[in-house]
Amino acid sequence: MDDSVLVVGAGGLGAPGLLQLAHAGIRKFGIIDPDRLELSNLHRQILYTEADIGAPKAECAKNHLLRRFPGIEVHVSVEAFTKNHESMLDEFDLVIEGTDQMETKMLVSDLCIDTNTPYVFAGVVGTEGQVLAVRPNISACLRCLFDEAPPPGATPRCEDLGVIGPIAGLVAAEQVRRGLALLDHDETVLNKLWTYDGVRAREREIRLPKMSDCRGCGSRIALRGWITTKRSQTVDDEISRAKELSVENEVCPQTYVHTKRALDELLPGEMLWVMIGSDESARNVPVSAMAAGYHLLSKTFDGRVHRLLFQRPKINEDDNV
Amino acid sequence: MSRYSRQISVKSVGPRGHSRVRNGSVEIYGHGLDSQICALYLAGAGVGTISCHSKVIDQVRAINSEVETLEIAEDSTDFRAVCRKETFRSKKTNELGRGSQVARDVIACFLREQ
Repeated sequence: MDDSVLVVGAGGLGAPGLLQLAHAGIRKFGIIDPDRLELSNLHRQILYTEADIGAPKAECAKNHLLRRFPGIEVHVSVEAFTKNHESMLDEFDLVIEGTDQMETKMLVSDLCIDTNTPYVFAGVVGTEGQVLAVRPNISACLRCLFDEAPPPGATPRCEDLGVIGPIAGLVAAEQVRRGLALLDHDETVLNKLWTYDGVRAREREIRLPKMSDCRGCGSRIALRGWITTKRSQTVDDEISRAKELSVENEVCPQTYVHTKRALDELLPGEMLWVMIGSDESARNVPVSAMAAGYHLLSKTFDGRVHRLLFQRPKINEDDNV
Repeated sequence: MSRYSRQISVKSVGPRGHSRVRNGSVEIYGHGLDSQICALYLAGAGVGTISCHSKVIDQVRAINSEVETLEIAEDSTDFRAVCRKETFRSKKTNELGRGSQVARDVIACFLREQ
């Protein structure tokens, strides 16, 4: 197979993904990851061994791949992904994105759109994961889903909610499957957000239409620079004005009935915090709300209450609601 | 930070669930990539005893030297895992998916115990 793949983030998703991609016949890789391996990584980053602890993941990944698959070509960058990596994207046919920071995910998405490089976004935290395959300017991109990254600390990370190793593996496997489909020009994986609930072992596909005025790939692309410099203040202002709804004592389907009613009353661009007590509702409400066209900006859990931040799409995005 | 801190942080696992995983034992048949991946995830999770093919044992020991390993003599390429008298298989399309799915199911089996 002559195709080449750039893996951004060689952690819980990227590390097993590399193994599967090499096994599937990919012979040229790029790996970008600034981190060094820690003991707590080993339960899910199965490409590495105890002997690698303290060493840069990208270098370790390269060494393990070369040992298992002699003759393959691997380029590494032991740095955080930045705009400086844009020229590197041109050298690869596909990008597999598996970082744990929304800011980086958005940057990868934007640069892949700019360089017309297909990419597959994936995320996993706790017992849930998501995958989105993107063919630039043809299908929905990451910003069609999230619009912009929530402020740092607003979204839960592995450090907060933990992660079960094999669930990361299942998400990585789906990410690789969809990535290989993109390389094979299989368009059936586009415009679909794949989600996995590891507690119920349930997979779902949510239709995700390309937004005509998306900031990543649509008519508002010129706002990206403005977003980058003004984002924190703007988002903080919008969040501070968000309305609140508590359905802590409700169960499905009443949680969604009340949430949907409150969401429908929002003006375009307005946000709503929803406090949910039931774990089942915390899983179902965002899926239903996103299917109805609302953006989920943040989801946190303090051990008792789930706090979900939704936003009604801004003007011109509203057609889907 | 402990080796298992990310796993213990998961609400549905916690210290009690992790203890069940640590006391668990599993037999993994086959020696393809799917079997290796399953064994590595279960070793990473800290399953107490893993019985597997000799071609997989060194990888298990390398990722977690705390896990007890036993060699399975049967040279079957049919990937499956057996624990608590249940047999787990997967129909996922790639090896990573199959190995991960079975490892997930085995951990769920341990967590279900009273």
